[in-house]
Amino acid sequence: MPYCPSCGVESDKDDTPCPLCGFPIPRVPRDDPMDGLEITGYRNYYEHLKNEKRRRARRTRLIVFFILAGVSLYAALQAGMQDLLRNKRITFSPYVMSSVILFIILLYVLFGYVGRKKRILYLLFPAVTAYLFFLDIFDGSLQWFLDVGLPLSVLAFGWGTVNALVHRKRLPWQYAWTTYLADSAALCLLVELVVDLRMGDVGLKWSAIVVLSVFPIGLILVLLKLLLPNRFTGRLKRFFHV
Amino acid sequence: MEDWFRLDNAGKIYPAIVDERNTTLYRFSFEMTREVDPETLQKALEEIMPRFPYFHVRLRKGLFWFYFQRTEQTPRIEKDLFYPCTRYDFKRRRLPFQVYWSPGKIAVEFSHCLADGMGALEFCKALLHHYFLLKDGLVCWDRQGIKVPGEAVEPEEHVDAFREIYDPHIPLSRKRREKAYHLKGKMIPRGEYRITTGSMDFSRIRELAKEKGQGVTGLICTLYMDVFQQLIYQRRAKPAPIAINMPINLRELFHRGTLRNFFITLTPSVDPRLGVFTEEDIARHVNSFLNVEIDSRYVSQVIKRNVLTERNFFVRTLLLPLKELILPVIFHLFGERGYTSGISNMGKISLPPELEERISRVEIIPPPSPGNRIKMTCYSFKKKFYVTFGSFSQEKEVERAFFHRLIKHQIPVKIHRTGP
Repeated sequence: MPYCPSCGVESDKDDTPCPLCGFPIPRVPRDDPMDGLEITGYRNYYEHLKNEKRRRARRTRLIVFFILAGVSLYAALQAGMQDLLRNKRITFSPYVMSSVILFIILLYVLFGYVGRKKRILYLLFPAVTAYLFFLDIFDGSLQWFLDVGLPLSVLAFGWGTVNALVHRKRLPWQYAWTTYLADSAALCLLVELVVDLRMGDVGLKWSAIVVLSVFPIGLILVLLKLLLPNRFTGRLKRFFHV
Repeated sequence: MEDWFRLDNAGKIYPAIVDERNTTLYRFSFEMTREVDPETLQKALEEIMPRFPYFHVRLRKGLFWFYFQRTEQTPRIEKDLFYPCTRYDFKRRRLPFQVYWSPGKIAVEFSHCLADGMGALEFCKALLHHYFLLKDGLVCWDRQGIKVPGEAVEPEEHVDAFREIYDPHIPLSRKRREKAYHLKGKMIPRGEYRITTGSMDFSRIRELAKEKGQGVTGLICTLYMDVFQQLIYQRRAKPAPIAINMPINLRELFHRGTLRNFFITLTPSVDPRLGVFTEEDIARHVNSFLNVEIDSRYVSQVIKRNVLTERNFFVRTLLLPLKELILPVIFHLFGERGYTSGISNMGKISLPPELEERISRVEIIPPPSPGNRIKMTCYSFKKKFYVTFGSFSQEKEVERAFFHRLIKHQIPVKIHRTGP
């Protein structure tokens, strides 16, 4: 039987560290029929249960997604049938159909099937733009898509992209939030400009209030970062952590 | 036997405290000299179950208490894949006991809600006996009281003996426990449980105990306490009483044959705040404590205190969801806080010689508990004496120091380890 040369205890196995003191036990030749039958390692049941729970949650989420998508598709088809039967032509059903398709795309995003956050933008931008385009074109001509729908969609995509970039840069939270607030204020300014251009009455109205409100908050955040010693920011962070 | 029954006094608190660390499960593991046949084991288990109807139950929730309901669910043996005593989900899915097999081993895990070690051991013996009967046609000339299928179930096997012993007229024990010394440091990850078993010659340990004028339990308890005292001084920890929780089997004391829980715990302790205790001092203290306290009259007092708590009107009428919130705190404050570790001495595991020659080694693993990160069981089988530690602590200092202490007393120890 193998013994530990350091602490003197006898061990089950040779050629392994001593189970008590960790000293390497030398290899001893032996011939034991039970050798092959021994269990070498156990699995973690707690982790096993956690994984099982996750698997079940994933399956439930998939089922709920298919139920919601199925019910909404069925409702859209019903709307199409009713439209055809009652009006003898297609009137309102394309609006319902396109809304349902956008709803399913949104569900797909909300249920987390898109994966990386960057891909959400790449999926939502064309989807929403196409939706706006179809809403406008179903009447027979483009009336508001080119001067309002498309610019607003591009602005929202730009806003999302800038925020995603800032988030990825892992800036200190004060700078990050100042940037989020600043580009949100810029978005408000541009949205107002686009809408005003369409209405033919250009001028600063509600967006000015947003910019004026955001400016002091951003300034306070930047000053907090620049002027407060690290130990105070550390304390604040600790106190307000969620 | 009724379709449902109450949990006994000792088992009542356990379902409320079960979680992934505090599983309340302990294990009897039998290493075989030949390969285990799982199909025969399954058949043996199914055939033995009608003999133990009080174990063939599911844990259910009532409005005020948990209770056991008899079930028709066939118990299934499972391959031993996970760390021992960690499959804690018996409250929802499974039976409160489980039989495991691996090519060289048969293991049975029981929850303390259902039975104590002695009750579980009777079940294990019956299972092994029937397994070998089916597998090899083995007939034991002297069964030593092992239960076999077809026998009538004795009513005394499933009574709550605490209620029978309870005497409302005796005065209450007023002993209070102080906060004891506890092991500190990091724990191993959730779902893992480190088992270290040391085996030695029983004759050598008995000789040593005789030399010191103690019983084997007293000797083990003395050495264990001394190890903790050494740890306190080595780590320069704040001294606190070292109290060891020792379950005492009450079946012989009160002549009862129940297979459900029937034990109380005694806690011999020394207080390093008063100064250094030598091994002889601790031995003297432990001896006198055990001699005085293991007395049916004093034990009745402890039983009265336990049963009285259970019978308290407010405790009884508190809704179960609230009990589940409060009982873990009570268990910590009045239970685990008061002792440093636990020693369960299971005594001699005796089986008929025909069975013994087919079993090479027995391992009894104590139930894990985060409050007492390390616990110990000791028992003897054939001519060997075993000490098994179950631990959540990342450090192995206690096990190391304890076995070194035995080696210092000229007792060679062989170590077997399970887990990380």
